[in-house]
Amino acid sequence: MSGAVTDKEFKNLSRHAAPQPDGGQFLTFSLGEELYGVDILRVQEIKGYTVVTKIPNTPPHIKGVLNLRGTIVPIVELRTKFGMPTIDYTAFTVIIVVVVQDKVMGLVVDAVSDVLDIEKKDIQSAPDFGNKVDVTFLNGIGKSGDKLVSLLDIDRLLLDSTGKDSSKDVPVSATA
Amino acid sequence: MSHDFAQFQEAFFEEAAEHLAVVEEGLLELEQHPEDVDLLNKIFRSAHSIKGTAGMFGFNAVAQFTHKMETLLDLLRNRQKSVSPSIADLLLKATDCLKTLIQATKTGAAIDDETVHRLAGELASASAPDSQASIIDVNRKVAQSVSAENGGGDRTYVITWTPPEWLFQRGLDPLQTFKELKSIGVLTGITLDMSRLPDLDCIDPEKCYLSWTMQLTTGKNLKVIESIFEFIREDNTLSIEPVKAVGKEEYAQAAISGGNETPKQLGQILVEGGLVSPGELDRALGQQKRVGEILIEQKVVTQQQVEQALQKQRQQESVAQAKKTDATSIRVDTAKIDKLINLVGELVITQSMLSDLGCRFEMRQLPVLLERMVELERNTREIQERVMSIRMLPIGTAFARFPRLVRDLAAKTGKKIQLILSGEETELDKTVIESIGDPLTHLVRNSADHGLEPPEERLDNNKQEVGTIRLNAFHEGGNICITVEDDGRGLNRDKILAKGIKQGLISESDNLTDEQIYSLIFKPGFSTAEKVSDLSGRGVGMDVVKRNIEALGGTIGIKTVFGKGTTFTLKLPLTLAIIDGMTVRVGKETYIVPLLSILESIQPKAESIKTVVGKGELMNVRSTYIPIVRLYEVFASEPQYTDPKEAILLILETEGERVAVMVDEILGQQQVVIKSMEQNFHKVEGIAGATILGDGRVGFIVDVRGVLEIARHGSPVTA
Repeated sequence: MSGAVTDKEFKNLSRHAAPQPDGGQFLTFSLGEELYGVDILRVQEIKGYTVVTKIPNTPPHIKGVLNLRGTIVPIVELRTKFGMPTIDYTAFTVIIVVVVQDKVMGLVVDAVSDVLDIEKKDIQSAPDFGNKVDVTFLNGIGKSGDKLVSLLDIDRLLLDSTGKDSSKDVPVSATA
Repeated sequence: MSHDFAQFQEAFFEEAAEHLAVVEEGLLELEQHPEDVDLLNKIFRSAHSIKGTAGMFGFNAVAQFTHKMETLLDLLRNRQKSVSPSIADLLLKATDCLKTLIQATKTGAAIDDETVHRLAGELASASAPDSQASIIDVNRKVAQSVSAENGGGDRTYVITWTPPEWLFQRGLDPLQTFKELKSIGVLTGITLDMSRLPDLDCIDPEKCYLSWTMQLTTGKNLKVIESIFEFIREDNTLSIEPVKAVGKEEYAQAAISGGNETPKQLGQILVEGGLVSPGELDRALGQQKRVGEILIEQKVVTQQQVEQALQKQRQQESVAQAKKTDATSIRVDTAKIDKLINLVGELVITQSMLSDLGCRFEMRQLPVLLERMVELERNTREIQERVMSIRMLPIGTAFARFPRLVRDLAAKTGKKIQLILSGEETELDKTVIESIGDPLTHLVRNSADHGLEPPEERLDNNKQEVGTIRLNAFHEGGNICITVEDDGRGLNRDKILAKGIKQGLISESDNLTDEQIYSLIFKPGFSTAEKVSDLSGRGVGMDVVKRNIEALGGTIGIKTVFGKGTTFTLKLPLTLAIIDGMTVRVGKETYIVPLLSILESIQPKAESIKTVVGKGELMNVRSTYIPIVRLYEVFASEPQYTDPKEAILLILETEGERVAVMVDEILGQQQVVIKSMEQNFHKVEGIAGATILGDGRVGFIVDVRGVLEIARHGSPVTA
């Protein structure tokens, strides 16, 4: 099937630290007080939260699937994925639809914030917290003014959430 | 290569596949009727078309090989040779080879030069006259293909050709003409006349200013040579003058000294000189060692290194192949397209009437609106049906391979087999046809290999010497049925039963129906037991067949009478994209159950539900106890009812097993369009796919087998 990731590719992804992203434009969004960013080129669209259909027997961070103009799109709740407490959805709650290797996936986030230009010199590698905090889904920390933006490694995040093998290999919520 | 050109190539490959099918079919028929000239002509025409178009696209390997086949075919149709079993066999093998050659050209995979060479050689030697001929005769025959009317003597012609100026503008290539001339004889003394070439700054690159003079020694007559220039006949300045007849020696001499333009390869000179036959040359070439072997012998590299390199080569090939085979196309009857265009026209009219009505709508126009809506619905449904029918092809394309397969199997097993095909015009989805080929092949092979007895045994059992395999396709309800039937020995119930008990698949105390016993041959591993496959016949890889059929959403059944024969019945959905489903509700969730697997639905009475060991629930359906599966437990959702008395039980059948699945409510029956879950997610146990419901939400299509597995072994991922 097109876009499927082989085991080997996946292992490569897990073994090597993700390359630090080049500078560029990032769509930022908030989860609680924290600010996250994804490469804007990966974003297909942003849409308001609508009811999704729960997929039976899947981990809790998989909210379900959505009909996006005829395509079945899995929706991941980032708060649950990162082990943060869940909150009630508001009018600001949005789904960011991202594309990685022909796969389309939606991320539920608290609110969309801004599109920021972050230069490469303003990006530092993801800090190592040891076992305490899982930062495998980050590939860098960006600075923009006094804001700190955690840059998401969207490939890993998506493969990890929708790739079948990985759901067993990697603990669902490693952060406490 | 430009995209447009690639498109034409695609068309070529399709066309070639069709011609190949004609050739193969024709050759098989030719074996039965070797005297049929019409048939030979038909085969020849198809081969000729392949050669022609392949040459046009520059697929020289294909063109050259086809040319060799054509030579032999030409001899056959001109009655210069007669069709013998060995020639038919050779031509069939050559067709196979041509098939792989074309495939290789398409995918860019490497060509098996050895086989191509060997077959080309065999074809060439088969094209030799029937009588014992001298080597030089063989050679001449090869070069000239058919002897001309002047008693087989070669003639040399001086050809002076000034192509028209527009030659390039029409996309014609003089080189191609030379190649064709070369293919009918020996082309020598080509001189290029550049006198008409203007000064450099006056040259129009799209115009041809060149002319040529050359000598052609050939056994073909003038007409054949002229026909090569056919495409460019108008505005041509062409003269073809015969020089003199040459004798054999002179001819050989000319061949050796003739090629003064390009140095010839040693083998070619030897062949042309009549010192070796093409066959001998090819055999010698076949003995040549591969680079890898030579390098190993010289101890430059190790065996392992060569193998690694070879593996790498293969990998690259397969990658190239994967890249190139993605695009598929379909050829559609224009009548279907016309009908569709008409329907779209109607739809547009309905739409404009509706929008007109919407602009100045008043309540009293409501009946008109409703009427228009009905029209819209009719249009939409009809368009949907027509669009689906575009993907529908007659199953004959899947059946086409079997005459050949059965022929080869008969030859291999020494049995006499006749194959009867029926229902070839039955249409079904292209994807289904493509996926059904392998399972069908397996079943037919099984029937021929294990099902049918050898002729002596058949005679002993008062049967006709010739065994019969019947393939039939027909519509039944919304499905298509394909039967593979043989009049062989049938399955041995007792042997299978014994084997099943021995392998621990069933216990002796089990009271099994015949159907359940026969279905044991579909169990993985069961087949590999040599006893069963030898004695009762069936089984090698039957589990795979079953799995493939079920992957298509179909079922497979067996009927057999010991000593009389066996019938396999495949039941398949017409298309993979749309299924008939029953929408059911469990709590707030909506699921779709494929209609094909539903036997009935029952609201149970309290007394018909029993438990086993306190937990396992069974339902009494007309005195058969069927296990109950609560769908909400399997899918870990919130139900409305937990008491089976209030809920509805769907009696489903999967792989001959029955199960009662408990849901809250049946909402109705509808056709659903299957959407892939794997496209953006992955396979979910118990779910066959997704679909969009009427309200735009996503609903899941239940995979009955998967649900049963989860119910038995617990859910695969803990929620």
